[in-house]
Amino acid sequence: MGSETPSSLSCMKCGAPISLRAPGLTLVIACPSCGALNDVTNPNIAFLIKANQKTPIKPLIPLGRRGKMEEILYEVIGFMRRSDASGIYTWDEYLLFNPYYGFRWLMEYKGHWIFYKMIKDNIEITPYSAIRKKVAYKRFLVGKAKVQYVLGEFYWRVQLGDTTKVYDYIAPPEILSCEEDGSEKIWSHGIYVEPKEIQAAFQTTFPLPKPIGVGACQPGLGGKSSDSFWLVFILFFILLTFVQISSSTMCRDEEVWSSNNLLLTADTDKVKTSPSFHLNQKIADVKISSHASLQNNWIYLNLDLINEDDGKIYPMGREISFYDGYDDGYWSEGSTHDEVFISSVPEGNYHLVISPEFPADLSNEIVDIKIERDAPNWTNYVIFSLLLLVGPLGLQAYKMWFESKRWQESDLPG
Amino acid sequence: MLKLPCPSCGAEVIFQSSASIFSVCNFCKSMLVRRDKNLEDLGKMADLLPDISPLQISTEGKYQKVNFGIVGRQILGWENGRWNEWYIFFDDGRWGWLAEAQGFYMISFRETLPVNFSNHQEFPVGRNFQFKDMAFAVEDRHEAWILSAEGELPSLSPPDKKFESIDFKGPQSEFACLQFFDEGPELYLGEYLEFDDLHFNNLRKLEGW
Repeated sequence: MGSETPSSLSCMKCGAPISLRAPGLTLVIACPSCGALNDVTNPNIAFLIKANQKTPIKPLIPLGRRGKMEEILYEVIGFMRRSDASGIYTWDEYLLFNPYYGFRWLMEYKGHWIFYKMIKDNIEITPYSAIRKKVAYKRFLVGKAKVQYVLGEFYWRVQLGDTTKVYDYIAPPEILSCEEDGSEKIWSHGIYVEPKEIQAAFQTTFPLPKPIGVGACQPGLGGKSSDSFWLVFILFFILLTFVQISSSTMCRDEEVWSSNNLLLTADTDKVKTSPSFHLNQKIADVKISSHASLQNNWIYLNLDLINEDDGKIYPMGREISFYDGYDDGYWSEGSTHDEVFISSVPEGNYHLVISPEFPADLSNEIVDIKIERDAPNWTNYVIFSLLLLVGPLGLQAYKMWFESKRWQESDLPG
Repeated sequence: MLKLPCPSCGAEVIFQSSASIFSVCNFCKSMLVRRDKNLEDLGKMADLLPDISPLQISTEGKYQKVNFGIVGRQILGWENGRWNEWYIFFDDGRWGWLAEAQGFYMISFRETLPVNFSNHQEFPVGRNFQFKDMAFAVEDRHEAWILSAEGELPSLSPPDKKFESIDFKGPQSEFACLQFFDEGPELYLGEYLEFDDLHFNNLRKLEGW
């Protein structure tokens, strides 16, 4: 047995010397040689608590390693693997010690890390939340925690198989956890820590496991990023609108030619040609609008804008079709109107060649065709505005997905 | 400041606070009590147990803007471990206790017992009480005993003699402690504090820290 003082002792099982990292505070220590749990406070009684498991576990941060968390240096003095009641889901807890500041815990589950500090404040409990210092934490999980494996030393008489009830409440990146052991309730406040911070603080030799899913209190992108996305959208939208309005007002929008009730006759596909017209401005767009009061019918217009000066042809194929009816309510498909823009058409003399195609039952139909020079084009503006919305809406969708992944780990229904 | 010779070994025993009635002789570890102008020897105090506390007698600190110094210590034991109660003497003449347990620090002062606090059967865990316009709830009750002591002390329960200790929790960081000794119950009222809040200096040198 040897002489035992509370800063070092001999293992009750194998006799190996054991020295304590937290003498005066540690009650139980697992022998580094044989794993047997020794009760430090009863050296005269051969108090050997249940021996440790056969398969050794290698913690991600070894015992004795020191690291700084929130500006304070801690030493890893204990390691515990716990599971839920079923024993299927396990997580690891590292007991950190600093003689001036006391104990802290680092919990690791599926690659996510939480730094915990035990607290003494009063916490208000409601059925679905816990309130501390005016912050409400949402109820996330109520379950059991069972000790599966221990290494190192602990400030209470831990035994394998010890089971406590655990309540978790979240306010990402913070978490409040309550551990209930009979009538004793211990509250801890935790904060999410990125694996790279743990790696840097404790100089872990091997890369830490990559986080799986979303951690209980893992911070999402937060309200601020959402605000900035909307701000960027609004700024660009205002800019886009300003550019659109100014360019639209600067458009001269001259009507160059109008068909004046072009009649589609039974002489199939008779080609009609507009008179020559002059397009002013060195370079600008051309807008061709077509209209036909169709009812459940279609017209296909082959339009060729021909530059008489250099022979260049701008071919277009436009369809005007409109169908409607009653089928448990009114429905309609298509439009009686069509518009097409050709951009960057140079100045010069032009005419339009119209070759209509239409079904046999449609004749004596009137088609109105109008050509405008330098007309304001709003289509691109609408497209760009919608594209801009992809940013903030995409972020919204991501946040919803992120939160749904977080709550998958919760035990609350739905 | 009062200096008296130890009746067992003759060494000088100092009392900085007039509230200190007991002292443990630094040299021979005799437990001494003041009787008029002399000290009476009550026997030997058990050795101090090694620990890694950063505090020691002569450590100074500050609480509520008043400086204090540690002049004595009790090591208390209970079923689930032990903790330190440091006896502190303030510049303004007050004295109090600085409890150090598992990295938690608490300062408390002796309070006059309200009339209804005489029977420890009336304090089951969870019961609420009003002291000084605050609601306190009984959080925990356990038996405790003195394991060892050093320096000067306002009281000294006989070593290893069990006494009942009841802990109360207040609305914020306040706590209260009611202890039942043979001579009668003692009530202490105080609050939890962070290490940094106490502005310590002259801390004990800890090897490796």
